[in-house]
Amino acid sequence: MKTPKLAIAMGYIDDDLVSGAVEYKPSLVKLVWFRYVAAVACLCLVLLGAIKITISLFPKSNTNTPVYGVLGEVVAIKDDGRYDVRITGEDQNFAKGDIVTINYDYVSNESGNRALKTGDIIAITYSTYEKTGTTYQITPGQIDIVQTSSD
Amino acid sequence: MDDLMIIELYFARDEQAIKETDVKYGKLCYNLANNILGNNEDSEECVNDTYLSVWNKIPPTRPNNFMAFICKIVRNLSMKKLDFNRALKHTQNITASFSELEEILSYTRTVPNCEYEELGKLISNFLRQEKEDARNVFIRRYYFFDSISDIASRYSFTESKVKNMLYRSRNKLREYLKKEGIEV
Repeated sequence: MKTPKLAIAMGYIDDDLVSGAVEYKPSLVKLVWFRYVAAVACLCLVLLGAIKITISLFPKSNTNTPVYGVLGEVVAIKDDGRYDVRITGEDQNFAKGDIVTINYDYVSNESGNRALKTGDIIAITYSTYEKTGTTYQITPGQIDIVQTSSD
Repeated sequence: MDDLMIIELYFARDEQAIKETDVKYGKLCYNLANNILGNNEDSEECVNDTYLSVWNKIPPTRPNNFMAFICKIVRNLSMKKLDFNRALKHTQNITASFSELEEILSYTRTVPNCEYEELGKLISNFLRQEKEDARNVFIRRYYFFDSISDIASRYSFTESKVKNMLYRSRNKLREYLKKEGIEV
């Protein structure tokens, strides 16, 4: 095998390129910095993953969550299956006459009949609620029909 | 000792010049020769021949870049010795670097109107366009014939990164030479 022409020609490259390659030292600070950042980023990802898994495995206990109860009257049934309820009882979160919206999926009673009718008087047990515009939305824990509508 | 002072010693015909050259560049010269020849005895012989050649060239030559000057001599002598050893079948050593360079410009192809020096100029121009990292990795591989692992540890790169850089540089050089009218 002969020596390739390029191997011989490389011997004729400029002097400053040769000495440059001998003296060149890549910035170690840059390399170390990059490695540290990469290591920290990986650690953060692992920690975040661990936290997320822990939260999903051990959901927050509800033992300390306050539970409220209030009476209300079903005043309307919405197209999406939710109910508008007028608050008729005393409650620390709502005033009498306030209209709140309740998700149908949460509604249940002892008889297993999940459907409510307009005019039903219900007891709502809830822990959380939120205000959207002028209306309140309740996520009920339980709903019991106290008195069905006369019709 | 400073390069200029060593050169002055050569001009003064002081044999201390050779000792100082050996102290400063002996290891560099030996490694370069050994990368090409892969043989301790031949490498040491080449380094000694280099010192003799430097002694004979200075004066009258006054090199601007003494390191490159001495590297060029030891490289040329080592390449000649390699050819000689191959002719006598003393060695079957075919460096991987040679095979890689052959991919770009085969030894069997002719290079019309383009002598080695001219080709060297073109390579220099190409290397100046390259990023500093890629340029120096290329020179370490194809001028000094360092192994991939040596380059990786020298520059704190991974071996795969070095291979990747060399692969890209070779492809770019092939295209560059093609554009400059060199048959590849």
